[in-house]
Amino acid sequence: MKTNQHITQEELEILESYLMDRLKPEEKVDLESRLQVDVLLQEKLAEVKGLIGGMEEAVLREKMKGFQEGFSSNPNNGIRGNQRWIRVLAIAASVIILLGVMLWIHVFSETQGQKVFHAYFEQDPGVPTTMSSTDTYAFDRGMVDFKIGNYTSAITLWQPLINKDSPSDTLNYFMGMAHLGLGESSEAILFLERVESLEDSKFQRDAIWYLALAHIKHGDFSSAKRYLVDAEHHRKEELMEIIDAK
Amino acid sequence: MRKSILKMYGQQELIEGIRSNDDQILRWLYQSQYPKLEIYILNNNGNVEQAKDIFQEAFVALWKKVKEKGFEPNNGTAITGYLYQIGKNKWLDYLRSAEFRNTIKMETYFDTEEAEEGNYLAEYERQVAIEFQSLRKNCQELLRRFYIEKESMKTLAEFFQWTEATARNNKYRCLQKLREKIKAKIKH
Repeated sequence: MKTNQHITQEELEILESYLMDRLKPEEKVDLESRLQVDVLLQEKLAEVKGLIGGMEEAVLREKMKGFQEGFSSNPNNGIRGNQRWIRVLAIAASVIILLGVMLWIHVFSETQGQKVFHAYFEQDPGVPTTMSSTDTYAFDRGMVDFKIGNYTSAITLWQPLINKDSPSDTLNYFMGMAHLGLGESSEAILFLERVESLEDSKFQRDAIWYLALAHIKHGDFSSAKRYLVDAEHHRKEELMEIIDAK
Repeated sequence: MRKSILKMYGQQELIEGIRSNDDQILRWLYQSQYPKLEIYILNNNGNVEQAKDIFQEAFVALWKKVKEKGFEPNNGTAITGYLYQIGKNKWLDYLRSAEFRNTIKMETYFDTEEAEEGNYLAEYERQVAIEFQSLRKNCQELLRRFYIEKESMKTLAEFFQWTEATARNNKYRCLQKLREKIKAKIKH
């Protein structure tokens, strides 16, 4: 392919219109018959095709920078696999210790709802990850983060899966639980409500219990009570008594 | 066993999405497949930056293959499998070349005169992609709107507050500028 020939404006417009499927049928037939005998014109067509393809590639590469953003906050650049996990666990342990200290300092300023929530909230242990299925890979990777308490990372990984209107009760349930783990009860309620409305979901029963806790944390005891009535958790009755006493 | 959670796009949906540069599908494909290759590369002597670069090259290769209508999926995970395989192969090629470099001077693509025509076009497009970024922003915007967004001359003229004739002339000038930049980089 030669790319140093002069291409006039008129030639460019005909060739690009051909490639962009904008020529009238008679113009297309005329150009194709010329292309059959004109090698120079074939070279020019190949160059214009390369120019358009290259510009498309430039736009795609720009888009990929945005797609990568969810992963680029990873502070482990340059660290190999096993070292990376040790670093992740060390950071997670530090975060847990720091959160514990902050919680201890913060406990006296907690509202009644927050105190009750912390007394009753136990995070879901998560589901097993196989690390083998292409279909569930992003979910599984997020689940690893979820299990070590890195809820922000899990949410970042799972969010794109939610965006494609996935009807998944599992994904919505764990998105809700990740938000609840971060103390974001309003966001948690949005996801858990989607699961609570699914009669055939295996997560419905758990979603109801955690919805009650999320509303308690939020200070909305009447909504919490509505969910507690339907809950099947073994601590349901004692929690109901506490709410009734408020 | 709790049930599977992910609604996958069908192969045809993915192909159409790639061909039309559908943002949502491209994003889903990128973000759902990147972690798998990243773990493979991290476990095979690489780092995150290298994983990102290799995955992006693989993603572009898949995108070109599908756009050229040269990809016929033969099973329900053909596209994601192909993407992973290209990424793996690129990483293995990189590892081999890095070892090779210790004893023999590596030849770059343009050092070899035996390149196939298809590879030449791919490399030409890559050069276009690189040089496109160095154009003035106004030129980038004009070319992007015309060639990628497929906006009409009338729409472009209104957007830039030009006449249609000016829009046509400016588009030609911007493309000529791009060609000149590429010619300066590629020796014939």
